[in-house]
Amino acid sequence: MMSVNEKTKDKCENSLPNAFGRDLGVFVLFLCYRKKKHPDKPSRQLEGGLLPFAFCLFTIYVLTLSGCDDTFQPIQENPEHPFTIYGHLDASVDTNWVRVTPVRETLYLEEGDTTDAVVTIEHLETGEIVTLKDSLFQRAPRIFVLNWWTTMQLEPMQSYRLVAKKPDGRASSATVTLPDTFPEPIATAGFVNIDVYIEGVKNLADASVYYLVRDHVNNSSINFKFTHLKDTVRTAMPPGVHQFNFNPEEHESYIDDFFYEIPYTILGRWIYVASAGPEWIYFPDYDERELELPDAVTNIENGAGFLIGVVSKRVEF
Amino acid sequence: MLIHLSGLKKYDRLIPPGVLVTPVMIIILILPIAAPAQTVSVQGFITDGSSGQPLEGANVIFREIEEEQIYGAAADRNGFYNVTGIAPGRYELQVSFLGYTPHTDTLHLGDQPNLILSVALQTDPEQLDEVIVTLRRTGATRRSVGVQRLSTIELRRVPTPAGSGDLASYLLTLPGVVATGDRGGQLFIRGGTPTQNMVLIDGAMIYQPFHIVGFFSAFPQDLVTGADFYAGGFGSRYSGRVSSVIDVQMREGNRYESMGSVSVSPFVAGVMAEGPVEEGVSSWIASVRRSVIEHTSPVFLPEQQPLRFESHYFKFSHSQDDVRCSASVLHTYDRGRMDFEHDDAVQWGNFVLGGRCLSLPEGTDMFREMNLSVSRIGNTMNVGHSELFSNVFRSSIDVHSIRMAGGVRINYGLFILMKFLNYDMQELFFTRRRSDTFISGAGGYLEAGFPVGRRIRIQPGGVFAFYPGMYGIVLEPRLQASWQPFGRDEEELSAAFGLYRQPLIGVADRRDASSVFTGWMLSPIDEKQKEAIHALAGWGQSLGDEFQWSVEGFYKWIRNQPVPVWSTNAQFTTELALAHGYVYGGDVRLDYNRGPFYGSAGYGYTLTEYTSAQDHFSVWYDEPVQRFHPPHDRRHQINMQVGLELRKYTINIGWQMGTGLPFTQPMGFDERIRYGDGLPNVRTIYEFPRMIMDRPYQARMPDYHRLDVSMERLFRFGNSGLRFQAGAINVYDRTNIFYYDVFTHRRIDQLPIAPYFSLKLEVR
Repeated sequence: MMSVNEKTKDKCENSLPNAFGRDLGVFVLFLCYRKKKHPDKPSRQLEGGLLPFAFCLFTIYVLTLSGCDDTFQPIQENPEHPFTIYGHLDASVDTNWVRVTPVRETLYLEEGDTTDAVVTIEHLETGEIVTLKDSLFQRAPRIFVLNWWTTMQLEPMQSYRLVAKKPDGRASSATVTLPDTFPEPIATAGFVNIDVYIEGVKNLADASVYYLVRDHVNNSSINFKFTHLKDTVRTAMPPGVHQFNFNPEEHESYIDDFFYEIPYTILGRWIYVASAGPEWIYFPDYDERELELPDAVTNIENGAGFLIGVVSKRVEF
Repeated sequence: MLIHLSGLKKYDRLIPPGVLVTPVMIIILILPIAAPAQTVSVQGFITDGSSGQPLEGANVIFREIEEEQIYGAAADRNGFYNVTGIAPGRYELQVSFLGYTPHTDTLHLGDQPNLILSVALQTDPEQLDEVIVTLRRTGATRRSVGVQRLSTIELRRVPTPAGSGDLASYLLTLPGVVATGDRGGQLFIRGGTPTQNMVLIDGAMIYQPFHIVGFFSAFPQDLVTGADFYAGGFGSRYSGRVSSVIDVQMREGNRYESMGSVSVSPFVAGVMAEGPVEEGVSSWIASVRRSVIEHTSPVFLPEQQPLRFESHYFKFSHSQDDVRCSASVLHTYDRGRMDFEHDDAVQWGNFVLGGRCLSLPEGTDMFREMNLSVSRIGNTMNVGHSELFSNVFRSSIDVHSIRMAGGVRINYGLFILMKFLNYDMQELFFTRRRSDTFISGAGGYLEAGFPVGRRIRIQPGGVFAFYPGMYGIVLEPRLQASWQPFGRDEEELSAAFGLYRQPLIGVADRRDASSVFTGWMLSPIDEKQKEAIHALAGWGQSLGDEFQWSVEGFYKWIRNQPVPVWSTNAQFTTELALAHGYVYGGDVRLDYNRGPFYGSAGYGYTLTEYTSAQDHFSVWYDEPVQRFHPPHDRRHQINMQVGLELRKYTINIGWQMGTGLPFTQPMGFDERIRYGDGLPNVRTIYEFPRMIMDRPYQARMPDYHRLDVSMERLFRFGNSGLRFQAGAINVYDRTNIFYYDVFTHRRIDQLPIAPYFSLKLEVR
């Protein structure tokens, strides 16, 4: 497929003004040359002196510069970031999904844009390699994203390497180690709030409450996520236990406001907790501007993004 | 808002105010301000007897009959002259100006110390042809350091596709004046941004006078008598802007006969009329112009140009005895889409109501000017379903006085102003939400021009201003000097230096120089006014009767310049941070005038560099401060203009070239997914589009150049005339980029070859 830079150059080289300017420049050059060749028959207008010379030079310069400039390069060469990789590999689920995006020349991936990338996961202990399958998701009219999935069963305490490769050999990769499994979180209902205790987790990657809601007008289901990662604390006694609490009525009040007069039904409620491997970064500590930078907070080699290995637990309430 | 400037401490105080202000003020205060009692001072206005227009440059000479002693002066842009230090006695007065019958008289001076003597010269038909040749020989534009006095002759020599010249088209031929293209109405002068330019119309502020089609402004040649264009280093009279001043004087209507004109071209149509109210005393002039390119472009251009502008102008002038007063009203409207495929439209409108009186108070040697004005600018831009807007209402009174004391010319003045701002720019700048602000201020200036020996003249001065509750009292020292090493006006070395502040700033999304929407707000953050220091020096010289050349170098320091925060977020909205910086460069210009031929060539070099400290630079680049060239940093410019006036024909050819403007060249795009709220589900998460880039503004657009030609023929029918003009813009059809949207890879080009013809009917 032709790149944006190549398209710009091609369009320019074949443009009418470019050809017109060149041809006219050659014609003027021819006229000026003829005048020098017959000094005994000078032109009335361009007779003698510096003026005709300057005129010819200026005209040729102008005309040969005419048309469009094919040096314009809208896109800079990008050897460092062939792919952006986001997501997590979870030992607790049947199917793992990751976002692997070839860095592209347009703002959004559009329908019809294809990828010839190959994405694989390698179990570093066994050497087993599995190729992920791609799936195009539509985000909005004419806006798509590319996700990749595998049913490969991942195991706690094991290391995996995800590699995304282009046919020209350029590749981005990430190596993650999944953490050990941990006991199911304990949720205790108080007078108003529900307290959640998470034990055996060193890197807490997620602590959220989910509601699966059915919209009866659009006949669709929506997942509402209320995150409590930032207000989770470590208890002194017992030591090393993460604890947070939430008020389900506040959550449901928010959902009620969201639907306003649209009828809906809450189909399910659960607490979701995830423990991350050693590559985990506590993102709330970082400034949003820094997180925007492709190379600032990443564990992707030769690429951008962030991939983490996790073990998760889900507790219905 | 990111405003951490920790890396910029060394710029915190560009100049300790006391260092310059104190000696300057002392010099001014110790000057003698009263003329010696035994001498006489004569002053007055020199005007055109038929139209009442001031005759700038008219010579006034008093020749003592017995002693052969000569005293003299030249009239300024208001027609005002002042001759001081005349010894009592009998004198022959001669007032002369090319093209006019000289006025002579015999006077006895000495009965009163201050005499007012105004003269109206009558045109001399026999001299007219000679005048035209002579004017060309001397060149119509006067240049001194930082300033050019523009005349209608100059404006007429730059072809516009509308049958007459225009200040906008002329300014674009000057080195150091950068426009992003042939639309948008934005002028960047010597590295300054458009909102740092002060544009005055008969002393009243106008905020955005340049039309959306870049050849045109609210100042067509027919309405203008002249303009002072200060690219920098301007004197103490002007305050409140940090880059440049364009002080336009509008024409008065004819006081003796009615006349008018109608013009039409594929770009614009207009009607102008003028005439006396009371013959010889008062007059009026009115003009209406409206673009037609929106309707005609589908016929003569490859695509429709969704651009529209119009302007309405009326001026009433009254002159009696030694008081000249005028009142004028100007309204402009511009609307258009910069990206034709996009629905986002920008529009702006100016309203200016101004009154001006020039007077010579009896019994004094003083010239006084009083201006009263009301100005309003309204900007709006539609972004999707939202509308951004920014309005400024400004009202001011300013008084300026000139008096002579011996050989010292003292200028001083006072101003009072109030401004009301309201805006809503949340869609564009995250942190600039809706706001209503009122500010009032007062100030004044004092400057004195005096000779040092016979060949050096210096003019120190200073401005003080006070904005209660906002900025406190600020002082701005200024200094101008000139040296004529050979004792001739035509060969002069001049220099200027000054500190400039701007309380009101315009912010625009300058990630791309073609951005048109401008929001006005108080300057800028943390009660710091935008500041600049100008230093410039130049040499001008005439080579015989035909050539004039000038060279000028300049350096500007800039402080507190709002710039967009560098971000990889691929979105329209941005945040603002502060930058400091500098601009330096030089201009060379050569003018040639011989008989019916005239020509000019200019080259300008400008380098603009900003320094900004933003929170995330340490992470991004391992350094807290970054230097960059903003998107209006056009490095090299060449302008050439040649013309021929032969009887009823006028031929003009203009070529301009500028090197490419900086733009941000992305390495590509991806999505950014946030982990701050826990693990993202990539199947459902909302992602943020991101532009992967090395540094903003590192790449440059292709060079810009364009050749325009025009030919004009005048047909006379008794007192009336029909001007026919034919020509073409962009003769060799260069595809100059106006705007490139790196998000969508849509390229918007400037006008392709645009042949046109125009007609203008002038009726008396």
